Amino acid sequence: MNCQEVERLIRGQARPTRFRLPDPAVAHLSQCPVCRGLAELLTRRDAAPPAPMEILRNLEQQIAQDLHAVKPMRPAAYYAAGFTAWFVAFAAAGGWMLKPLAVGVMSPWLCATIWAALGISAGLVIMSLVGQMTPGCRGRVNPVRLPFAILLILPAFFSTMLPHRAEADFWRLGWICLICGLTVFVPAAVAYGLLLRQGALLSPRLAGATLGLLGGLTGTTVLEIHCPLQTALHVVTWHLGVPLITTAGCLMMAILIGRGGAHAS
Amino acid sequence: MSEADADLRGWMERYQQADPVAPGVLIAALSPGLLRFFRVLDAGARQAEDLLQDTWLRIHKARHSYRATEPVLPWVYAIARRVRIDHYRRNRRTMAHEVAVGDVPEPGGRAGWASGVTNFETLVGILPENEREVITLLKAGDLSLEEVARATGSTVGAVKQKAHRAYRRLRKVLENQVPAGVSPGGRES
Repeated sequence: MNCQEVERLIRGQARPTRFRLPDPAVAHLSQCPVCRGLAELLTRRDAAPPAPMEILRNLEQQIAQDLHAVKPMRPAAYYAAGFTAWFVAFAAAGGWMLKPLAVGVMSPWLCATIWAALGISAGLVIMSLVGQMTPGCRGRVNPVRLPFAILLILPAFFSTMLPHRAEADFWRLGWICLICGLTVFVPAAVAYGLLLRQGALLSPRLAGATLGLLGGLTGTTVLEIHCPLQTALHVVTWHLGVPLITTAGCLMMAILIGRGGAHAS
Repeated sequence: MSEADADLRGWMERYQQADPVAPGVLIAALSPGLLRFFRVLDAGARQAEDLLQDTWLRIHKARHSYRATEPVLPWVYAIARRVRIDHYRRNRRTMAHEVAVGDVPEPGGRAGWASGVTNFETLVGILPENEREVITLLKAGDLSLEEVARATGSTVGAVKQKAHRAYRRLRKVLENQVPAGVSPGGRES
């Protein structure tokens, strides 16, 4: 065996500290001081130095003072289903209360495509939120990149799908849509927040931004069911302005709350 | 699942059920690894002990979020990692000063080689932050690649890549440490 083969062998191990090198590799290590050093460094399982007893006792006492039984979190699928149910319920209720006027101005294919894009985006955001609720869980959607990706891809997608037409009263009608979307966001965010607080959020900032994004997407979905003004400029500016504002707003709020908490402590 | 992992899972469940023995057992089993994790990444012993305490208090608050079907170590180290990040954010200015005047490991130093002991903490100190974290979790935390990926919110592929880069860098350092006259054997260029 040569150096590269030994390195590849160590590198290929799922848990290097519990790996025993085969005889040919051991023979190589006896001749090669560099590989020996590397193998000792990476595969030898040395005992960690003991933690000071005083600290451990102190920790035990602190925890014992507040020790009570807790109910373990339900499976991730339960929370994913919960978020999805809230999303569908708010989108359906909002669309029904405001009247589904967009259905009349868009072809069935366009309706299906736009709602599918919003549904997929919401699904990814829900996966990210559920992942953030449990530390160290598997296959988490990257919570930092996701909001950026959605807030960049959706406008590009909508501007290619929808017609580009000049419209009268751009500001007044747009403002109405924005307020409408933000009004839907408020109760939706409260409902999502109630589910989210059942988890252990390691980064309240990220969780806040993701929650804002999901609430904002709920508002956009309601607007895409209700608003008869389905032109690219109007939708990209005002309908997709809702998740942009809510994501930034929730992120800011989480930062301010975090700073307030740090000052208080 | 190894016997040690199964034991930890069992104790975590008992901790959730408020068994008074469980916190002590878990603290004794996990603290040495956690302390080493903090020491390797943050150097100061006092700071590492503070981080260890913060981590346990956070673990206590978040214990309901552990699911018995999942491995314990990624859950614990994900929390520890977050404690470290939060601590770093809080003390960013102080930390910057400490790094500037603190002990910087010497990659080419021969003391370790001469004494026959390769100091893990010193060698790993030369690695960039993300590679150092992966190597420390693999070695000091005794985590598998999959568990490191879970703890860092990354993918197994990304962890493998970081570990690979770290091995390359460590090899270079070790090559520089080999005394003159001793040649590394059988390396293909």
